[in-house]
Amino acid sequence: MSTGCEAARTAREEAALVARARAGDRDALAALVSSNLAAVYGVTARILGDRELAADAAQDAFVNALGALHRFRGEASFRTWLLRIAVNAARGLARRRGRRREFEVALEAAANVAAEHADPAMRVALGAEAERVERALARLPEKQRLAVTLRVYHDLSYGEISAVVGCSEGAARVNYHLGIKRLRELLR
Amino acid sequence: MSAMDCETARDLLPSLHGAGLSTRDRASLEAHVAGCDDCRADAELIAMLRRNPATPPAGLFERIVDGLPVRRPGQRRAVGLLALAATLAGALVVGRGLVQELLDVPAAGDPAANVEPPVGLLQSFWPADDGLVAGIAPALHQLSVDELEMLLAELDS
Repeated sequence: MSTGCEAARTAREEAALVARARAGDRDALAALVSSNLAAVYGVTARILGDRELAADAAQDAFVNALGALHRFRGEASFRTWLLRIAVNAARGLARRRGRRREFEVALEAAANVAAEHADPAMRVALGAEAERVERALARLPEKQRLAVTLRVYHDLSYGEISAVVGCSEGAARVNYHLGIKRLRELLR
Repeated sequence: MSAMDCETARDLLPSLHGAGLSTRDRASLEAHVAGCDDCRADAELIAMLRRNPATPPAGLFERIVDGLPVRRPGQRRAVGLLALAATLAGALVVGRGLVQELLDVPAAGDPAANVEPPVGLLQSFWPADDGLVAGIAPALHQLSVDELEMLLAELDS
């Protein structure tokens, strides 16, 4: 949740970028991809649990969203609108490909986190932690997993989460708290 | 500064590590977490989660940007103008048919010129219940020129 001034500035910058992207400005399109890639991939990865499928779904989401910018009316933030499209792309891919593969993202995350540290002991410890986190997240029901992902990693409000996931604001809040409670049990 | 309760603290905890909290909320939250074991456990869990994000694979940004369709400036406007032209052409065809119906004049070269129009065709043509043609099923031949012009304007809108 942002402070009022920061949120207003971000919204103005986002609106300006969207306007330029609508006019076909490639730099603006690239900036919209760059500023939202982590969130979009984060969502598709948590839904699909497979790095290749998550990357495909993220690409589908950007192509669909940026190809339909004329339909974005600014009622929600661009990020919320885009993440909703990403959730739909990932769910569609999951339905077509069958059951999610739970631990590929875990292994990838463990490798990425561990690789950033020079100390071998720290690399092992952080790699193990990343794998535990991903395994625990994978055990949550999808709506809890998404609520936790969007709130913890991307700082979305419950209202924004409800728009992305497709539930009421109250349900988004409950899903987040249930997810955190369950993760505490799984990771203690 | 009023004490923060656990419910509020837990809602704000994910924002603790970002830049989004006001100075006052951050101070209240930190004070609450320092004195509450339960909320501190949540804060530590959230910190652990944030240390382990799902990172996009190398090259995905370039792959996405390279795969975006190239659109020339003004392309959408051209498509919009074509759609508008098609709509106007359709309206003209319908309008011409209506005028012929009203004046009971067969279209030149119309092979169906001597065929009676089907009974009830016009009556079933107006589903709306507002505007000029609303309410009763219209008998177009009873409408004045002004009313007909209003009708055409309504069809065009």
